[in-house]
Parts: sequence; structure tokens; C-alpha cells
Amino acid sequence: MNAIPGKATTKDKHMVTRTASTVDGTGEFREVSLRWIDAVGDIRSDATIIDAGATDVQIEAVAAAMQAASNASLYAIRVTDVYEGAKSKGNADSAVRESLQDNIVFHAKDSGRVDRRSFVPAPLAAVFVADTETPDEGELDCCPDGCMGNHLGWHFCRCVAPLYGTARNQ
Amino acid sequence: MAILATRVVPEISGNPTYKEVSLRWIDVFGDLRSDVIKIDSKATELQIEEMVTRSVSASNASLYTVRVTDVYAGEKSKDNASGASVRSVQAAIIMHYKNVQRESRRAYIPAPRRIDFIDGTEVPDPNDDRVRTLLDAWDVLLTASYNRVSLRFTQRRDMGKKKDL
Repeated sequence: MNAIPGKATTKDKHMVTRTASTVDGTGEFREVSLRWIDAVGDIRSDATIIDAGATDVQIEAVAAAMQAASNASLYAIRVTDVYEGAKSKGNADSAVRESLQDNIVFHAKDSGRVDRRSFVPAPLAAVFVADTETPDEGELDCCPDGCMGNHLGWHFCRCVAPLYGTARNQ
Repeated sequence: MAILATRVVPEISGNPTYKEVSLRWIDVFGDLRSDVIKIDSKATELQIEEMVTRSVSASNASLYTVRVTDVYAGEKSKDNASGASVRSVQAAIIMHYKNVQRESRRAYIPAPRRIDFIDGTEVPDPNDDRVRTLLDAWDVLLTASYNRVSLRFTQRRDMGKKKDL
């Protein structure tokens, strides 16, 4: 089942299964994380799993009550919707570039020149220009409008030894 | 240093400062990977789902979790905190809940205000108006299946006695 670099000459038979549920506002649960700073500059964050149906108004009520009870300053709140399913290697494909250490990197910068990168891990042979390791932009769509700033393109990256940055082949 | 701590985080109103999407994958070997990307605060669930679908259709790995986070962020400054007694975020009141399956949920009030304790003790006062308001608000978030168990004041770590040199 080892990957065969540079042999992406045929289309993969795509049998992979997504188990994460649809992103539609009704996740399996939500999480709320509160981030605090105290008078000496120490910071702390705590996350708590909450009901999937908890509303912004209800979370705001907690945030307001928390601040009223604390000497620390509440400086950030993260509200996360979690869509999850079974985690099983049996749902993944055995194919060329089957490892998560192989990935396509989509690189963009915003107007402030801040980098954004998104990844397609274990990419299909079908999304490469035949007989190359060059991502085929005709097969790859960018992320949604408003998601990214200036699109700078795609490149393929293989982590030869993921624990050592200098050993990466990009 | 503020007399009363100042909240600087914006109101939770559906208009976050920005959003993040985290995708969690597993491959045929069982290796795991997750990537987080910061996205536009106005990105809709439909747009995110489209991005997720396109990612899945281009990968040999199985996507098993998507996490979509609304981030509300304000200025992080110690000057907005109060220097009153119990000023460290390492000290906290723990609100402990359990459901009938004996699963726990905990929420924390870091650097709690002294007036929320029973006088002369380090025991949180469940009859204090602020504490009652807080417990009522958490009850709603945690759903009716979770019941209150306890309030407890603690510090994150015990500290030994200091020897000045």
C-alpha cells in the first residue's frame, strides 16, 4: 500500500467515504471556549461541550454572566460547530498518494499579504497533470468566494520525514 | 489596572471577527491529520460545505470531522483585568455537572470575585446573585440532561513555599 511517487498516470478508482456529517448548521454538538487575561498578563482558556441547539443569545448570556463574576478580562470567545462521523482507515482509499503525508497545498495571501494555506491530503491521481506531480488547476476548484484573498496557486508537497522540517520535499 | 475587569470581546451575535474551518482526515494506514484554515467572517455554511465536498472529492483519505468556529476577538491586555483579591487566572471556581450516564461537564470562572464566596471562606456561594445567574445560564447551554453537582474553588497548581535568597 506504499505510495508510488511520480506514477500518477491513471485515474484513481475513488472509493473513499466521508463520514463527517453535512455542514448545515446542525452539528453533532457545539463547543464554547472562553479566553481570559488577568492583571499580571497570564492567559487561560477553557472549552466546554454544549448542546448542538444552543443559540448565540444563550451563549452571550453565559459570557456576560462569566465576565460579571471574574476579575480577569474576557478577550476572545470561540464558538465551534462540530460535524463528525466514524474515524476508520477502512473508509480511506488505497491508491497512488494514499498517505496523509502527501498533500496539495493551495496558497493565497490576503490584501495585507498575510499567508493562508489550505490542503488536499492524499490527493487523487486525477487532480494532477498526467505523468507529473503538478496539480491540475482544471481539476481543482478554489475555495468559496470570500474565503481567500489573492490566489497564488497550488503545489504538491510530500513530507519525507514529517518530524524534521529540513527533510521536507516541497 | 481596572477596578472592575473589562470585557473586550464583541457580543455573540452571529457576526464573528473571523471564522476557522478545521478538517480532520484518516488515511488507509490509520494516520491522522488535521488542518485549520482561517476564512472570511461572512462565509456561509453552504460555501463551507461546498469547499468540504470539493476537498473530499479530490482526496484518497476519509474525512471524519469538520469543525466550523466563529471567533469573536477583542484586545488582549492585562490592563483590562482587575487587581482585586483572587486576581490570577490560575485560580478558578469549577462548576461541575453530570448526566445520568455519569458523564461530566465542567465550566470555569477564572479569577473569581471575592464577593461570590461565602463570607470568611473559600467556598463559592450558590445563593449569590451573580453565581445563580451564571448557573442558570450554563444550565441552558448544557441541556436538561446535565444536572448540577458542585461548585468548588481551586487553583490549577499547588505552589510550594518560597525561599527568598
